[in-house]
Amino acid sequence: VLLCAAAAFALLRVPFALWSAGQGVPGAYRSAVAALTETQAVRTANAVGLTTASEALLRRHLSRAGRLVTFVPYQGPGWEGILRNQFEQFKNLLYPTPRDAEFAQDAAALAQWIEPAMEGRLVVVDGTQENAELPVRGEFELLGEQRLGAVRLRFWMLRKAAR
Amino acid sequence: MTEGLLSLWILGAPALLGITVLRAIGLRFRDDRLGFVAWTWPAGCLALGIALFVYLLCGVEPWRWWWSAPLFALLATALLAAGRGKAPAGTAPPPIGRGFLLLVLALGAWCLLFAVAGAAYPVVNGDEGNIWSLKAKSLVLDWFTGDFAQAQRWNLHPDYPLLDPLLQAWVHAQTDRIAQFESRWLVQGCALSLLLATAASLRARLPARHAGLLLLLLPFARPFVQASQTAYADGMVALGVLLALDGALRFCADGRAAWAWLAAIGAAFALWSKNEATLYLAAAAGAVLVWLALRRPRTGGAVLRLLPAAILPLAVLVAQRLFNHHFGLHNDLFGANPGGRTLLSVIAGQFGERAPAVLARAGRVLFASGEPHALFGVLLLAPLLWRRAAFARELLPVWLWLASSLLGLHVVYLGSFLPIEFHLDTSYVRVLFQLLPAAMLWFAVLARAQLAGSDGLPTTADARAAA
Repeated sequence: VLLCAAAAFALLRVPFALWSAGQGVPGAYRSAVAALTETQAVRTANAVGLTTASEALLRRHLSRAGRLVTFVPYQGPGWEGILRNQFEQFKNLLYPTPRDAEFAQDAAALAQWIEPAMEGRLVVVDGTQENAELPVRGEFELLGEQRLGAVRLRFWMLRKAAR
Repeated sequence: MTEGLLSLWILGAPALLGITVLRAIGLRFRDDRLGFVAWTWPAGCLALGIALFVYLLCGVEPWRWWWSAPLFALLATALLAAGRGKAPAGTAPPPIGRGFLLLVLALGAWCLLFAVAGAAYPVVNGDEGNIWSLKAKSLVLDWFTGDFAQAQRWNLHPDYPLLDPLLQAWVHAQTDRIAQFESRWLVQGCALSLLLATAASLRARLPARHAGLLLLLLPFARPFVQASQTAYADGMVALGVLLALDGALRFCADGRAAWAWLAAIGAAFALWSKNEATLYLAAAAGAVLVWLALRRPRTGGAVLRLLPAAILPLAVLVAQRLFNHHFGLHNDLFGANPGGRTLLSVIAGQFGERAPAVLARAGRVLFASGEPHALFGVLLLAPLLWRRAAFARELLPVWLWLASSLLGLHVVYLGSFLPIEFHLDTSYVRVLFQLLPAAMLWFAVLARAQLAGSDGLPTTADARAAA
């Protein structure tokens, strides 16, 4: 009796786990279809938000000793989560060009990564959706921009840091 | 066409290696059909990982790594030839049963669905991207430029063991590029292997109906789905731990050296997958010592005969420690944390603050959640529920090992430098999952003993009789 009760105690979780996992089946099916039918470039763009052209652009301008700073100047915990996720994805996709990747949610945080030693080696991936310059002192060259859906990203190379 | 053949080679090489390794240690398909299929994968991945590790140390560049499989197959075949005379005649396999096989196939399809779904995303997210895949990329891209050690400062856990990254590096090397989608294939294969190995271990102890019911605890667990989709190493640890326990129990049942070697392969596989396995090894050593001291078991000689096989996991452990020491890679629990404090001092400093949170989470997950981890609740209550059986003969060290491993995991949370709720939210269920298949096997052995009205260790012959 005890054995049956113990087994039932554990096995009672199966319907809950099945229900929970089952919720993920439609999504998993869609992902599986995408995995089997879409190119890697499309899947990367959909998952990471970076097109093959942008990836090539960044790799062309960044060395292993460079630095990539992902900048999204919108506040709130939701935005922080999006920024962290985006920064990690960019960092891991582009590794090792560069190895050093950082993120910033406001001008002060962005400014701490801008330094003279990184001139010509630092690119800011700018998620600002308005037509504004980067809110830090220094000279930046716009390498290009990418529009994916409604989201625009601009890529700025640091040419001269404020001293 | 070429890509298809390449994929076949990437996946086929470890499978062929695994078959050769299993044959070399004296296991035959007829020993356990389902088990043999399951064990092939970790055995092959371990052999491949050792080959690639040796190649890295010897400076063999990735474009030559395709040699690994044939070379190690050759070595294993030589071992096989050397050991052929000593292999005892195999026994008839326990019948799998058509219904049970259909269930396993259906659950395998479930696992494959999530494995294919994983290929919609590159290996850049979470720990998969920040730890495992980053290390794999570094092995291929930084090792031969001479700045591997320096590059590890960008890894969240630079000291984590190498098997998972090596298996991903194998794919990078074979495709001659950083394979952002395919690199997790071999690691994902471990989830399927885990399902099959668990099914085989349960079926060897229980009638098909009971084994099938118990097996359902595994595939719908969130960490199993995650293991099917990603290159997280927790599924690999679970697989290695299960193999170690299954092999050890089979060895205790019939004394065949092949089972001891299977246990050794499992232990080495787990130890080289993630650091928690070192804790489990220490817990196992403690449990066996307590068992020997308390019971003076008649199988004590069998434990001594396990020792030659124990060289394999110990060698893996030492090699990984030496590797980390050489490159200055340190563990965050042992000083490499923002405060530079040791585990004991961190635990002492934050015990009062963290213990209630850890206990509350344990109580919720083990007793009051929808997680199959509820089986750990049964495990912890076993001495109260089945006083004689839980402490009887071979079940005692298994219980002691699992219980002390669980305790150890909770102590780690007390000593973590991460915010406790964040650490528990992001890893607790996943890390405890590493012990779930082993706990399922423990329950199967206990159930078999209870159903048979004995406190002895059931064997595959018992399962045949039950069937």
